[in-house]
Amino acid sequence: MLNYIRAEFYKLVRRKYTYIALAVFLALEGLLVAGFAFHNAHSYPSPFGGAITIVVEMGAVGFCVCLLTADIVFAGQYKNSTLKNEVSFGLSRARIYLGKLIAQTLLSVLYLLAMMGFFIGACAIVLPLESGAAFYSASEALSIVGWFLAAGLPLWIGGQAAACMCQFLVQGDMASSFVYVGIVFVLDGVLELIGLLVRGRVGDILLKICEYLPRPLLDSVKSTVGDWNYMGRAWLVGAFWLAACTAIGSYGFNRKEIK
Amino acid sequence: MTENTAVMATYGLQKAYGSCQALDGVNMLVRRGDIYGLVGRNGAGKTTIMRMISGQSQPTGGEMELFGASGKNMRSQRERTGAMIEIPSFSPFLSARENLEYYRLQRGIPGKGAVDEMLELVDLADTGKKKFKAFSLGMKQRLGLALALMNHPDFLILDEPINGLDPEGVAEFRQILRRLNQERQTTILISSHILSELSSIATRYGFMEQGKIIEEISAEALHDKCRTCLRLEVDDAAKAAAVLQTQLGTDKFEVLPGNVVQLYDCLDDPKRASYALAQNGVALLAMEQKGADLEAYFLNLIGGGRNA
Repeated sequence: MLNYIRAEFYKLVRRKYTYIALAVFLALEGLLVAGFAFHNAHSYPSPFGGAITIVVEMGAVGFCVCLLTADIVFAGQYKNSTLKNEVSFGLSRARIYLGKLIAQTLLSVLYLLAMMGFFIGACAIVLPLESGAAFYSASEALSIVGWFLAAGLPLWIGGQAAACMCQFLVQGDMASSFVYVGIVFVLDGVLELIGLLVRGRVGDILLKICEYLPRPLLDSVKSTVGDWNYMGRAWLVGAFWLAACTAIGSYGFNRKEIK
Repeated sequence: MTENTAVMATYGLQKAYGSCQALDGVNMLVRRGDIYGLVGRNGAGKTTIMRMISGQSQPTGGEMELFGASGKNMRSQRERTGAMIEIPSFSPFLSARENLEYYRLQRGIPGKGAVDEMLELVDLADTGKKKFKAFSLGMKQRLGLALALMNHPDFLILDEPINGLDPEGVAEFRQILRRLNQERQTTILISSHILSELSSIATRYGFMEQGKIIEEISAEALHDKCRTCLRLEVDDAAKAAAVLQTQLGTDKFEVLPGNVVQLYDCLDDPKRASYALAQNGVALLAMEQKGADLEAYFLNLIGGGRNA
């Protein structure tokens, strides 16, 4: 397994896509920080604490990163027909599947570190650290962001598992991306709508299910700081999605014809 | 040779894609040291067999063995194989060296020298940073061969490996395969539509038609069958045989069913044979010179007329 992951990273560091994707995210963060700085120059200053807590509203970006890192690591293996080189050498399909999942998860953790480090660092340099009582203090804001990351990490790993499953089971980059978007970004809305329409017991069940889907769960993180029940639920939901998507994905991949 | 030295064997192997029966009870045996040429028309099932051996596809019936292992145990034996099936496929954004290094790391093959050795072997050492997507078909084939050989396999599976190679490349490729077979006793399963090329290296053949192996034959036996001869159709084959022995002093003939005698002598002077037979009261009903190469033999086997 270690050999497989090493090989994946050998490929990743030699791919422009890896750097371009990160550069785009960092550039967008840079624009956000520049926006705060511009605002501070022309209006009542937003301090560091007020700026960095904005990431808590951006949990969905993490799920977009899942899609991107899965695409970077999978590297169009169906399109390029390169999976046959791995299978025909006798590498088990479980190793191939888990190797890719671990590699893309590690890559996304590196992305997360780079993105959070850059954003917090840039905010710390450009924005005033403390300003007025209307905003979180720097330490309060950092603890909120820390709570968000601690709750978000398992849910994003669940998102990674879903993205990996889509890459392996659905041929075609576009098609697999659509399925992933459907599962992570659309499914909760559909279930909620059906739940509201049918009402009754079935409706209640559907609405309850929505609360346990990764993205809606992460959306409510800001109001749950310090609520360890919520944190436990986030980790359980993340673990469930990881296990379920990995089981479905690897089972389907095992039965797939490789061309 | 016995079954114990079998590198790969299939027993009634079947593969169906919906209602299409791609393989229909294939029985095949590749022994250690063979260069096994798989011959068949497009769609006969050659690639399907290779894909199954290499784990890309699962059979819908029958059994197969690789180095004596069957079922799930076959997977670990695949580490002893090298395969190049259909068009060689690599990451388009990596160079030849980077692609090989990626697979070297993935497969845990020790020593970086393995990559350089393979690039030298297939004459791709000078490609530098050129990406795979910019390679010609011939270069892709060479890189595919390098990957197949990188783990020094005991069993090499090659599907149409010389497509796209220039004449020099074909000759080099032939030499590499011969050397591997002779020096390292590498067993090779190879399919090709260029039958003249196949006939220059194969030691055993399997002829496929409509998902079945219709004949397995050694190169020697095929050579004998394809030998140039005079085919004599007579009224009494036993008497004709006696005449050939006594009057022409030759025993280079075969008596076949249907009063047919195949004579491997007098090829430059067929009149001598016909005269001797007539003089001794043997009626010669027909006489023709016969001989075939691999292509003619194959076409005759599948019913003639269609290209391999």
